Amino acid sequence: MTGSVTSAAVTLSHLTRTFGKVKALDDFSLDLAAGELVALLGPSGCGKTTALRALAGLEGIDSGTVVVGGRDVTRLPANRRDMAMVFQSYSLFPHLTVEGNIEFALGLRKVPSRERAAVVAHNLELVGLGGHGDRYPHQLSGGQQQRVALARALAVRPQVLLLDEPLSALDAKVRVQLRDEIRRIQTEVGITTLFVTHDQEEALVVADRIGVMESGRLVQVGDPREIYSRPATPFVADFIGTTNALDGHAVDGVAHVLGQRVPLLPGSPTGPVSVLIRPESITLRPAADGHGRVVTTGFMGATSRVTVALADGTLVLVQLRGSSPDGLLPGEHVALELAGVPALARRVRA
Amino acid sequence: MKARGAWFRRIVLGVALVYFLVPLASLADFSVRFPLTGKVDLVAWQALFGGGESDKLSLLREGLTNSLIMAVMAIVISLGLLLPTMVLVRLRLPRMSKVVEFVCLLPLTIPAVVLVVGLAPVYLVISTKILDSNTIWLAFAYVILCLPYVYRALDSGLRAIDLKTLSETARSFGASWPTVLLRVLVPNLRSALVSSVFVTLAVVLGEFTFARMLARTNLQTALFEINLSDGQIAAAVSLLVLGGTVLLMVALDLLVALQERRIRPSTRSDVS
Repeated sequence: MTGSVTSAAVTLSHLTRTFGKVKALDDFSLDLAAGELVALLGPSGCGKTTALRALAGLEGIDSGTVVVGGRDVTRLPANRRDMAMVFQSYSLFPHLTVEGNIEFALGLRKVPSRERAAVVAHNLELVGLGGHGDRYPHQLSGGQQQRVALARALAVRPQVLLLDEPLSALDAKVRVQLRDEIRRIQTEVGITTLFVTHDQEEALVVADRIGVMESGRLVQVGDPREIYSRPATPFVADFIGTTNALDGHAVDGVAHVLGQRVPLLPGSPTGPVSVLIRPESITLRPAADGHGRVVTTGFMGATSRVTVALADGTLVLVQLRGSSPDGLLPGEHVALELAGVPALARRVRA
Repeated sequence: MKARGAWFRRIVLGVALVYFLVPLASLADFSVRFPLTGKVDLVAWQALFGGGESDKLSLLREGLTNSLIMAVMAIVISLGLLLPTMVLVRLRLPRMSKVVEFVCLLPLTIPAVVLVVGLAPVYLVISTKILDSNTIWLAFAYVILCLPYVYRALDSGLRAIDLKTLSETARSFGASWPTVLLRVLVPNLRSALVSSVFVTLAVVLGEFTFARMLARTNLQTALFEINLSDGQIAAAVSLLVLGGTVLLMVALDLLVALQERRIRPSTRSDVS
């Protein structure tokens, strides 16, 4: 049973959902192309899980429409939406073996029983757990349980795969491993996937496109590079990656920071601003009359991180390529060179 | 210290056993000893197993049958009523959970005699207008009596599982609510369900007040009647019923333990 999945495009239009006074979804719209993996990213409480649950049919919405594969499913209950979900908490049925779990799901989807064994075996192989079919969930590690949950979700060949922070309960090493595997399998199977996470690195690595959410709204959707290098709002710039906020003055799309010119991204204000500059967009040069002093240096393998204190006390994080920041020692005076990479600015808070 | 702890445990166990077993032994002794002469005879047991038929035996048979039927009815009704309600309340109406708890625990605070006074007019209507005066309809009242115990058992069972994730997972795979309940939740609530069954069985088989005051025949009222004329048979039957109930519970318990061991062996295998 290696047949291709009938992936479907998804359109979420103007979804609204309020819990008391909190707007969990505020006119939320998002399109997923068939076979695409979109990650919804945002801090906890931003509404990303509510959006996913609204698509799954597990959460009611106040207004808006959900269209999957051209069919309006807004009013359909969860069990009739042809989706499959992997949850953050382990969701395997404890009373069934690994095989039993997958077969149970297949049975619910009316897969003929003579075909089930082959589907089970194929999907367990896919997630690298062939031969674990007779184990019970408690006999598996967290990472293995999530693999089985993934295999179970893929086995039913849903139109849409929903992943609700599937990696956040796992330890760092397993998380990275499984994250890469989810990407591999998703590409291999070609299934439309909505992946909810609060981990920006996860989203950057896994997704075709990322939607960044803030207070129930989708503030930017784009491919990972775009989100990282051309953030639409200061919130996105802050949330994705690390940024330094350096004081400057903006005129005609250019900010003057530390006596240097930094081109500004669209949407930046003019006048006194904080310019949001990535640590890797800065280089350091030893200079007795430089902008500040090195506070700490940290070796991170392929890169090094240096913290510099400016004259006014502002701390600036700099990421340098290469294994050692030659000659840079704490206390040394350095000049900051801004690489001229376009950056976003925000109005200085009064 | 350790040895002293072990001794202490043994002493406590011994005292508890004496406390429970002495009355049982006395009961057994009473059933085989003719009260006036003190002579050992097996008349009571012969009457029970001798194959003969008597009014006493048929009364007993009627009471026992009624009680067993009512136990089954009470189990089915109370679980059928309470399990879906509690699941629904937990998933959809968590604010109602205190209300449900209050209602379910209420029967504990009302003495059976008071309850039966309130129920008497209800049963008048039931027996004349809706159903008939058959004893088994007392099962409805027994559901109320068992509610606190069934609630407690299910409550602890539901606390032990991730109800929301399990039911949502099954829903997302296409399970209807009855499927979620019967094929996902029930297997994972097995021990909670079994303890509800135990306690309902025990309550119904031991119930006397309702049946007596509403003039119905159940096991306890039958035993009471027989005891008035023949204490030895009543003692023998009490012993039998007690033994039977214990055996039934041990069997159920073993069955569940066996199932549980299949799912959750005590030794966790080391997989990482």
